[in-house]
Amino acid sequence: MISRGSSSNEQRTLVESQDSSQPKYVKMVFILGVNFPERNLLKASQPSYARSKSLETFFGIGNNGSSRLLSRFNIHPTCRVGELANKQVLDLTAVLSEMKIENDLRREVLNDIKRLKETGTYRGRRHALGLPVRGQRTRTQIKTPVRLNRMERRL
Amino acid sequence: MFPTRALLGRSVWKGPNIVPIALPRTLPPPPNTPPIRTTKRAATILPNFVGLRFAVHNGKTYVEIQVTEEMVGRKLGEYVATRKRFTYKQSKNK
Repeated sequence: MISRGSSSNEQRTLVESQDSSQPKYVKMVFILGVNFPERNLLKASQPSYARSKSLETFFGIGNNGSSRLLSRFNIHPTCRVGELANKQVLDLTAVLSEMKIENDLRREVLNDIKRLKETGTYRGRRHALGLPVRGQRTRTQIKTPVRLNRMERRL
Repeated sequence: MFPTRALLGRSVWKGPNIVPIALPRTLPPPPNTPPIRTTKRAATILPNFVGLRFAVHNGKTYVEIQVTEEMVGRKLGEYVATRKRFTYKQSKNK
């Protein structure tokens, strides 16, 4: 159980909203140490809600991961953060703190790239040069690897 | 979720690409043993290769590599580059 989440039981703090069209105060819910506005959806069911999907803001949890979490705790897919029962929030936080997400996952990916480079593989060399790693053509259109592929790559 | 993700590159029924390579009779090989010359870049590095020296063909010459424990399960050719970096050479006569 993570400590900095501070158990969220009585932690629905009142935070002043920046947006004047919304009600003046927005209730926030703590999940794994991150404050989410209550009106956010846990998981976006439609692309138009994509900006407010709360679970997928964690690095390492995407569409599949959030679906699995929702079905595990019997939460319907259009549930908003504010509609969660306290126990469900606690359960989610507990499971998320066990999973390899956020900085742990970032570190793992970076270590994998570093290991490829240190053992002298072709893939490691391509990462370090900022070129495509998986055999794509390099005659044109290599903007993405040039931007992203580094030894200490941005994730 | 994907239990066979690591094997997606190759059919499971084939298994890893195990190529018969003549390994030295005595292990570890005595010093001054020449490295094992091979052109089989696609050969999977097996656990009993660890510590041996290989001279792997890069299309032109044989490049020596020392097999370490981290290389097990990968291919010999991954450690020997086949491409040369482009460098401009000034030509004298035009």
